[in-house]
Amino acid sequence: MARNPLDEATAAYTQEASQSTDLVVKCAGLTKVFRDFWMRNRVKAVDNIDMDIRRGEVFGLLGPNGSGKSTTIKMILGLLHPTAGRIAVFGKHPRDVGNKSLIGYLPEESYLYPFLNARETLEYYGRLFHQSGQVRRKRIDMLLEMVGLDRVARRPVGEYSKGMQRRIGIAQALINDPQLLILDEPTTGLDPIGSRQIKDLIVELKRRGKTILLCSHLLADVEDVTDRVAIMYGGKVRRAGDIDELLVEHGQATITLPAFDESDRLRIMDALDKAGLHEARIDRPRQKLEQFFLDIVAEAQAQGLATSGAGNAGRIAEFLRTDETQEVQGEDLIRELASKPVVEEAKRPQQPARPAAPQPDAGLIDQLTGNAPPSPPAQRPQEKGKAPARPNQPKPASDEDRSVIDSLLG
Amino acid sequence: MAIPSRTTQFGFFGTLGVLVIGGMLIALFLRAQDQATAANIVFGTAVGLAAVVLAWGAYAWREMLFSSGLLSLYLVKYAVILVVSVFIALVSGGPDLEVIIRTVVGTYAMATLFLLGLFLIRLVFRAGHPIIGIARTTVDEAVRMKAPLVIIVLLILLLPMLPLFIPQEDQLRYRIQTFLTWSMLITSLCLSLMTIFLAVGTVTSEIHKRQIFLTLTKPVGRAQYLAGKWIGIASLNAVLIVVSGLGIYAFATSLAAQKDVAARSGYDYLAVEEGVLAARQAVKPVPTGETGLAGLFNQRLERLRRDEPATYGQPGSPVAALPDDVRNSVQQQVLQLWYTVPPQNRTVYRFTGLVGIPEGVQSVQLRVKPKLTGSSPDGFARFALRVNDTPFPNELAPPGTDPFAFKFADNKHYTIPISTRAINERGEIDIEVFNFPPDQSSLSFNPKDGIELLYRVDSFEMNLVRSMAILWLRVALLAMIGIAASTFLGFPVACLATLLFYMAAAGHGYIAESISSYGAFPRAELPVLERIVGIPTTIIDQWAEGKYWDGFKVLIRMTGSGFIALIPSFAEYNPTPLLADGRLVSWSLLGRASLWIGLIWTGLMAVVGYLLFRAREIARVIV
Repeated sequence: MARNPLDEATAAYTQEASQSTDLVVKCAGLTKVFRDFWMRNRVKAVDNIDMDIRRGEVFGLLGPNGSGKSTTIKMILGLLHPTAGRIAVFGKHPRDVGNKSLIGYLPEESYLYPFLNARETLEYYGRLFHQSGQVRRKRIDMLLEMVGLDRVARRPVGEYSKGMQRRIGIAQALINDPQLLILDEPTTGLDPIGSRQIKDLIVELKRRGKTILLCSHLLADVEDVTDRVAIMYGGKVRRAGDIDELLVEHGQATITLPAFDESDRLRIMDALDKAGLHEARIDRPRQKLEQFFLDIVAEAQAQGLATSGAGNAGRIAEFLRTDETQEVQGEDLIRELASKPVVEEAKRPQQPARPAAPQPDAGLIDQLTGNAPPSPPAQRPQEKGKAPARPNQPKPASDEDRSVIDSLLG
Repeated sequence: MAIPSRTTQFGFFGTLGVLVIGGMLIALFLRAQDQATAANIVFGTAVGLAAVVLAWGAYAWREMLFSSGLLSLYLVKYAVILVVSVFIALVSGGPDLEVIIRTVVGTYAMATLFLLGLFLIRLVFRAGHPIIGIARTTVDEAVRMKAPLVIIVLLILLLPMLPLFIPQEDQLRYRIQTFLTWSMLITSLCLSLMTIFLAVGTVTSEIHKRQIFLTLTKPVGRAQYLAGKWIGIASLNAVLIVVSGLGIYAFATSLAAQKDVAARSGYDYLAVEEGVLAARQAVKPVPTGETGLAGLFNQRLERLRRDEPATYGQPGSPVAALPDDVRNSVQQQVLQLWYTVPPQNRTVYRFTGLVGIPEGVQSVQLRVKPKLTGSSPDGFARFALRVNDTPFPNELAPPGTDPFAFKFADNKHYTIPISTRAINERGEIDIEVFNFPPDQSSLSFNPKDGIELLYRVDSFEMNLVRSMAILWLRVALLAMIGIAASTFLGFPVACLATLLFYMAAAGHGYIAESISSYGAFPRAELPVLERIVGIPTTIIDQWAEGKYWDGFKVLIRMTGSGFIALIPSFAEYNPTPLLADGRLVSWSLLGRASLWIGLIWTGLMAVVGYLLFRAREIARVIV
């Protein structure tokens, strides 16, 4: 069978792409047109997009339903063939079989064999990666514990709830410890514990230098973990860039302080007023529902209440956490932070699910209300590298996100 | 719920295996020693113990899919067969208790063997390789999804029940032959259906339900995917073929073992002893003269030429100048004449090449189907035989009748044992048929199988092994066709296409024959190019003469011929009639089947499937 001229073009292109090694995925002029039986163009699902995903970053692909996100992902995976344009994944053709051992993919729904149980499912995918029985067993034990399905591993996957199937889907995407993890709507059907764990996982993998392509409608989730985003609509990329640059509000600043009483409030307001900041406002930050929910469940699990569903989601699997090549300093701390909200193993002493609220620091307030002028607009706290979520932070961003989409939708 | 450890699993299946296979071996040994009752007791006890072990296993593994699905179904099936056999016993009043017990025990043994086979597959397919992984999951799918499992259960249920449906009053050898024919047919049919549904179902449903998204985004080549699917189905079929083969063997030999009491006549007894459970080579007779059939042909042709030179050419002109159809017709006439013994006449049939008969073979069988050209008052044909010029006595002639006269029903097959001592050192034997009754019409034998000499060259066991191997090659090809069709068709269409292929391949001979006499067509002897050009010419000629329908028939035949040419013939590689008739399923037949079905056709289908699959876009439009 003759080679597709497109393939040849891609081959030349991939060579070029492989020279810039920090690009994991490179798409140029990527277009996908779906044709009907009579070869009439029906839908332009992806329209001439250029997109680069760099090594070690978390890239968010956003957009409303039918904006071409899944189509783009499927082209990157080689499940769909581009109508025009070029893709290189790790500098190679997207259908290169050897490349696939570097990729983990969680599709938008869990496409599992209903007749296999959880362990057999993972055994199957492990075999596809040429893993020996020993490696397979070890990884599967860790993954099952990590996604909280170790106790129901002998039940056929067909009997699982949607969320439990999703967990197996996540486990299979990680079984090869991929360099590039492609997550298509990873939190669909998951309970908040699972969603939170996905975020922790993304952060942990990013720390280890893995590249993640995240595709989701849940903008809050994306915002928490991504470095860069591209927002698609109608098959085109409307905006793309560094998430912090995209979201920073140049007209406002936020100061985070420990809790203080009414008299302190008056003093602070007064001080701010004196400094010429007349439109300042003081609110009590609300706890995020996610964190609240996680606390409740952690409490119930600590009491050992029975459930027939997914069990305690455990720590992130060992093989996904350890770097054989380089030990990162302070790794234990990071690991602890990353897994803290979901550490609920009965054996271990119950840890507070959330860092204790810091004690009020009177000195700081005094300093602030005294004569010190307010600092220039604070830069957004950069703590994504350490903790996945910023529970106590005011979140103006999600509304802005929605308004971006709304305006795009017209 | 604790899952039994790996050691326990091995212990479980090991005990099962030792009980069933060991019991079977001891029973076979005892039967060979003519200890039928002891054999039955040993085998029954072994199977009974195996049942206890199995029941324990079903309980211990009740949390596991493998056991809860398969073993409970298996237990249900066991109950069903008990009820069915008791029902049959009550309604027909025919089969005795022993037959029913044998049926139940047989089902149980086959099902247990099947489980063992599955265990073996899982043991073999445990390496970390994409092809192995896909193959293993395909086997799991087969025994855990309903459609394929139902057919497998049906096979394991039907085969042991078959003897219940064979009329007890038939001659024993016919009962054995009927059993062999039907059991092979059921095996072939069940496995073919299972293979088609499984092969088509597994690929189309994975594409439809998108499980393939996950598999093909792992380091799995498209060829590896197809290979894994095929290996899975083919190995499941191999297990089922072995299980069926053992079942067929057990039931056929146990039927034959009853010959002392169940044989209906002396001939029946002899036939069972010598002819049925054997692999016999057949030899056709040749004329005794120096020139053979060619000489007879020349004589006949010269006479015809003297009478009708316009049709047959001038006497003495070269034979090559004869048109093909004329030559064919003369050949047929000569052959038919030579196979006919006129009243009061004798014909000597010489069988040659009777070398290599294994030591210990006491007799060869003369298999005849005498047919009277005229009517016979009592429906019997009578004749006498001389073997190597010596009158051959009819050992089974009723007392008080002519000891040298053979009296056989008209147009029926009979077997006459002849001692191997009659074969001379050149490996020849002359048999003279004497049509002695003065009032009897001509006696003729069908040139195809009217008179032949059969001698045992191999055992029934080896014949069965080769037959089952050929069956496996056929279903393995079907699996590949199903997979190839599924790479570009949906479930219903791919199933239909594969079924159509199966039926066309199985009925290849009939279809080819009926097509060859349908509508006018360029003669087969013409060169290929002329034949191709001849088709439109014929159509135009027909239409020019106003014979529109006849012209259309040429078109139909052209389509049919093209279709038939693209499909291999399973009929050529059908071991069932040979096996049932106690004829040799030769290594060369198996070799040819391996080459054509196994290598060329399966390979071709694999390549076609791969090329289609490689170009296919796996995902569908979702916008």
